[in-house]
Order: sequence, then structure tokens, then C-alpha cells
Amino acid sequence: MDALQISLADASQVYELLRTGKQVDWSAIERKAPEAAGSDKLDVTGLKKALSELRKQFPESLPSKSSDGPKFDALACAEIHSRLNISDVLASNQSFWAWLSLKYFWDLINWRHKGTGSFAIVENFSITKRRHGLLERLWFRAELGKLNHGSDPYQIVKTATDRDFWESGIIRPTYSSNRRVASAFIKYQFGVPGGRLHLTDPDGVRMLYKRVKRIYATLSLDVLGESDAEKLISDLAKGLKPSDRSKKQKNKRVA
Amino acid sequence: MSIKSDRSLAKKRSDSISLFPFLRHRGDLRITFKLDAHDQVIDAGRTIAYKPEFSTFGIKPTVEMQLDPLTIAKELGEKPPSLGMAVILRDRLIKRHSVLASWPLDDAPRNWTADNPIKISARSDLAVAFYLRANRAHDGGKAYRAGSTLASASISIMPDNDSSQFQMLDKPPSAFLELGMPEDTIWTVRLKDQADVEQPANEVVEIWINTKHKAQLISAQQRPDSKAFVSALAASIYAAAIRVVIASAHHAPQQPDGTLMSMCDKISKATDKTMDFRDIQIAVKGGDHHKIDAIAQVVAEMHKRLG
Repeated sequence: MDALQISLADASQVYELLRTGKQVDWSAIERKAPEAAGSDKLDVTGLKKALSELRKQFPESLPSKSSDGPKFDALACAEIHSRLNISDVLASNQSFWAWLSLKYFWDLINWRHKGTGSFAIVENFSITKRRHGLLERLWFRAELGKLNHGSDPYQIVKTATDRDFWESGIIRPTYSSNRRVASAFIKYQFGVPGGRLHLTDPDGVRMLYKRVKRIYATLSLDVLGESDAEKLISDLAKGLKPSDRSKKQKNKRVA
Repeated sequence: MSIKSDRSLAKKRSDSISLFPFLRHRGDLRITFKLDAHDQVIDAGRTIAYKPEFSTFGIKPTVEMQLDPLTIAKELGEKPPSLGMAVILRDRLIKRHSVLASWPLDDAPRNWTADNPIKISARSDLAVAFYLRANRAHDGGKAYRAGSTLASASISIMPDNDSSQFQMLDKPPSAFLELGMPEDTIWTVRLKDQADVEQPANEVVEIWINTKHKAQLISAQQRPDSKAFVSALAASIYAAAIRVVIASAHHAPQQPDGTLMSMCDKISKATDKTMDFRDIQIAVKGGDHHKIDAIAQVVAEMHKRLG
């Protein structure tokens, strides 16, 4: 399937039409995405099928604070990334994500994000904020979280469900554009089950986001090798609050 | 390992980055970039408009450096073998920073061209960075960690004006009252929810337009002198946006990103006064209102025209 796009202004109108149950004349607004290349492989049919199978494992409605939502996200990441085998240049085109979300995943995104309302808000369809749409956000999460060794490259992506870690710690900050630093950070935090640093305490992993941001002012993270990046993250994490689970494991080892 | 000393080095980095304008002014240094799909030679610090073919066919950048490595090292207080030089592409939309080439400073060529075209998105920076190559003993205020940036120069590639506009929202007078502002406020700049102030300003803020004044704004734009009016309005909004972003940052950005630089250019054009990022940053952070008089005049002019 070719990668197409719709303008974000059209996307807003499509959102309103779909919300009011009206028909959309897609052929009038679709254009080929300029970044699309022959090497891009979009298995949209396979992805729709895989995500609806996955959805069956979850309740019919997802309240906004439900832990099921993040669990679904974690499992959906790998499906989205492996079935949308696209270049990162195409992935940077928000109009492509808006087209894909509105045309093929309207029901699924509403199910995942409507909460107590009737419909998910526009940003979940990649119409307004960049990397906030469900598909776009989860694709980037898997792109940054995919590790190049081990039997399953998506292992951490599928098991680390904490949305704040992925969005505030990895996707949003600039430092994660240095892919070796992003990998080192993810491996450090989720290389142990349940996470190494405390996820919600201000002196846990959230402090590590700040420390990495701060050091980026003085250090060219871009020129660091893999082992240098790993050493840097582990140095910066010294003295931070461990997660309850990793504390228990440490006590067990001592005993 | 000391977080505190890293923090104090931020100032050093800021000082060394200003080395480049100093050397350039003295005529000792010129770092220029050329893109094969772009005719002009681009000086470090400039912003160029993005063309769609950059992401379709790619670009082959060339970097030219007119300076003896010994002079750079001397100005940085280092010896050439301890320094490295890298050409780095920072693609912000793709979220990928790539080192295109790197050398010890002694071996760095004066001219370098990429072997293959590189596909880029609509927001990228091409940078030359000088950095410390290996760890060394911690010595006071000197950089000691491998990878420490000692100086850098870059160009930004940004979308054309149309795609870098701020998001504008129509709001009723009551929305302004709720913010504690007069209900006849014409417009204001707001930080978006969960905004990341490291992102370009037009992704971080939104402009609220008072519906009560929208008709006036539209009719004013249609007047014969509308060009000056629109420039003035744009300049005042840009200025306000810069202030919001800078005031919201936990720490001041060490150098302007492409959006801010492009805004500074627009403000300069609209006001006929030279305005660079550092002027605005110093003025806003230092509360020196004399230095932002030019911006204030534009805002006042706009309000006067609206009557």
C-alpha cells in the first residue's frame, strides 16, 4: 500500500465529519506523501487485524486512569512498528499519521482514548500535537526502544508499560535523539524487571531525566560510543532512589 | 563524577560558543556550509528554508573551515591532539542525531563533502562541534569528560514561513477574564499543556485571539497599508512568544534554535532594527527594558492602529 497524507486542515474537518457520522470523500483530499519511498512497507490490513485481536484481550471500555490502557500500548507498540516498516523521514510527516489514524484506525483510537467521553480528542489522531497521536507515539516508542540484540528486539518495549517514562523520559526530550544514549537509558532502567529506579518518586528516574538534560548542555552526546553512553547513564544515576522491587531484590541478595 | 561541576561547565560552554563570533569578527575563522540542492554558501548561524526534495532525494552537505587548527586550539586553551572535530546532523523531527564525520583536530580537513545524499526532515541542524576526545584529570573549571563540547557552529534548516506559523485559537472575552486579563485584550500567547520548552517555539506556544476583536483584525489587514500592519503584528507575536519560551525554560538555551533565529530575522525586518537572539535573551533575562524598546514600539504601534 502507498503511503498517503492529508493536510492537517483537512484532517480537522475529517475528524468533525466522522464525529457526526458523515461520509468522507477520501479521494478528494488524499495526496501521496512526498517522503514515501519504494522501500516503505505498510501492512495496514495486517496491522488492523493484529490490533483488533489484541483489543479482544482488554475490556470493552477503558476508563482514562485504567492500567489496561498502558498495557495495551506496550503490546501494540511492537505490532505497529513491525508492520509499518517505514523510513524515519516518512515517520516525521504528521500528515501521514493523521491520514492513517483517521482512515483506518478511527474505532480503535476512540476505544483507547475516549475515556468517559464519546470520542477521543483530536491530538490522539496526530492532528495537532506532534508525536501525541496513538499510532505515531507508539511507533516512535518502539523505534527508540527497539534494541539491536537479544532474541526479541521489542522485549523491553512490550514489558515496560510506564507511559510517563516513555513520554517524559524518552520521546519528548531532545537527548533521546542520540539513539545510543536512548538505548543506554532504556537498558539501564528496564534491564531489570519492574525497573531499576523509582518511577514516580521525584528522586527516582524522573531526576535522571533532568540530569541527562543538564549534562547535554556541556557534552556532545552525539559523539559518545555505546559503552561511553552506558557508563554516562550509570554515573548520572548514582544516588537516585531505587524502585521498591529492585530494593527488595537487593535486600534478598544481601540476606 | 560531579553533577555540580558539570553544571558550572555550562557557563564555560556558553563562553566558548561565543568564541566563534569573536574569531569571525577578527577575520580568523569562517565556517561555511553548502548544500548541493541549494546555490548559496551559508555562514554558520544562519537559517535556510527547507525544500521538499531534501526529504525525497536528500542533501549532500559540504563544510568549509578557514582556520588553522592551532589557532582554534589556542583560543580554546587546549592542544590540538586533545580535541576532536565532528560534523553532526541533528534531525529533530526524525529524532535522530548522526555524526556524519569526525577527526582528531590535527587531521581535520579544511573541506569536507558527504559521500552520499542524506534524506532529512523539515527541521534539521547541521553542526560542526569541537570536543574533548578523552577523559582527563578533573582540573578546576576545565572540561574533563570525553565528549565535552568546547565550541560549536551550526546552520538550521527550517520549513518555509507557512508551515512554521503559530497555532492560533479564537477565544471569547470571558477566557481572557479568567486569566485575570482585561476582557478587551486583543491577543495573548499561552504555553501549551505539557509543553517541552526545548522544542521550537511555534510548537510550544499557542496564540489566543479575542473573538471580540477578530473582525477588527481582519478589516485592518485588508487596509492598503496592511503589509506593514501584518509585519508589525507578526513581530509583536514573535517577540511575545520568545519571551514566554525563555521565561518558561528552567535554564536559558545556550544557543538559539532555527525557529528563534528565524523569528529574530523577522523582527529585525519588521522593525528595521538589528535584533539578534542574544540581545533578546539578555534583555528578557536581565529585565533590561531599554534593549527591548524596539519590540515594545511594535506592540504599541499595533495597538494604536487597531484604535
